[in-house]
Amino acid sequence: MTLKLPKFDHSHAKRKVTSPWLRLLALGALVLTSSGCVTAKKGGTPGDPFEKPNRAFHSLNHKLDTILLKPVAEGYAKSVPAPVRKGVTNFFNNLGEINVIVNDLLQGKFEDGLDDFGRLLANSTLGLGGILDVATPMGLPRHEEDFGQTLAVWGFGQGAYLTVPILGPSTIRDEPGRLVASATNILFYVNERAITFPLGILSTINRRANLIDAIKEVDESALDRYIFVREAYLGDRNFLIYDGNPPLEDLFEDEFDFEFEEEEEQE
Amino acid sequence: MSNKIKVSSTQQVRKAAGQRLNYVSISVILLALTAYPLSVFSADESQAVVNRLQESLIASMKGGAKIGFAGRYEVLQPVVLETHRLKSIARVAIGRYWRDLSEQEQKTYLELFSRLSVSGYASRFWKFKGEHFEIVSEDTLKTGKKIIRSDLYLDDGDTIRLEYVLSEVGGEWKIINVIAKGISDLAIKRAEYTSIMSKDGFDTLLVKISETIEKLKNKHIEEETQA
Repeated sequence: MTLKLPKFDHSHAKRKVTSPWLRLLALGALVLTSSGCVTAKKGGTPGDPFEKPNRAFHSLNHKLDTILLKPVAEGYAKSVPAPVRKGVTNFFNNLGEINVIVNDLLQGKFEDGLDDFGRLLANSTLGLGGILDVATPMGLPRHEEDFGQTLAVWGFGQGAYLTVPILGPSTIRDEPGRLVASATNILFYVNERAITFPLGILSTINRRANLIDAIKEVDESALDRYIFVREAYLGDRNFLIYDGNPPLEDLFEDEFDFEFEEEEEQE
Repeated sequence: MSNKIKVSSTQQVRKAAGQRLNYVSISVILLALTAYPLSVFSADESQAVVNRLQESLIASMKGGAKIGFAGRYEVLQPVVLETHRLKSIARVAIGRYWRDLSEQEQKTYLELFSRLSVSGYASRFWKFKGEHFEIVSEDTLKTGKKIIRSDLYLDDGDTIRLEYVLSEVGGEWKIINVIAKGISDLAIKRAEYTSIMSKDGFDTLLVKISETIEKLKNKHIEEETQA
């Protein structure tokens, strides 16, 4: 089965949002009956209709991070040995594995779904509840799938870029993914705050600690932090949607080409 | 009689030596002939550009804190200038505002932009822990541009997928964009620069680029002063 993926586009805002939910049903059915051929229109000009509120939330998030999360995460990274932190990361990845499996299946990637189910079993048992990633050396590497990617594979446009207070960069298409990720996480069904609350905090600190270098890179290279994060986020999402192999033409937008030719003629 | 034999045997030796020499020179010529079109006409030309850049990045990493930022900058500058089409990149990064700049402004901007590009490499590739690059594939776009995919293998076993976009002008292939794990350097720069130009103008852009160069320069200053 070949999945023809829609062209990645920034045009979201101008896209009509009339039929998506109908299309969701129809396309979902298509994918599930394994024909799964989805094409979408080509993108237009980039847009960021919520830039103003996004910027406000971006700087709020940045301030909160600088004051609260960053110092804690840096302290955590310094005091907790790397193998322990790796174990923490593995543990939370394993809790998120059901989300990966569900989205493998929704995208028609049945082989990946089976592999990831194998990962879940191996890591939950031999891997001591997910602390050790024994599956990767067994030839079952981790896949990164979520519902935002599934919607993209189903042909949904990206929708406007969003900066969500506290939570950070997202798009309209990626937002429902939070619900799906929660609903597929066992912790969601544990009604014991004494367990879920500290685990939630640990997960947040650990995730931020894993991003120390990446965020430092942003702080050093960005001329405009908001735009840098936006473009990096959208690029990263596109990379994930295509499982690391975005179509060649996406790598160099037509708009760029035009100007290069103009420039080259002058040389 | 024995003399005659001696003579003929030395002649044979000479003859054999001559033949061997001929074989050697013929094979050298053949090799040269086969190697020549390979390097000049085949696709490897564009890969050679990427290789050349990556070799200099490894050299920069190996120089590390010992040679300091200035040392790494010196190692990288000629290679970055030679392997990248910096003028075009800078031109696309600033988009439609390029035309509004005076000749002097364009010159200042280009100068700063190439310092930024070299500084970016010199600050990022500053420490060697056994990393290496491998070229994975080469593809040609509809427009004739080439994409060379390459993996950077890190010491912890992780890899970073790098995609180099190259264009050819006058028989010379040069890099016009680098995409790391799907994140396009030129897309980010273009979005940033055009936004700054529309909101704050050219002077602010120059100030911000200069500030970034300073930040990149001082990134590893502690380790470098210790080394």
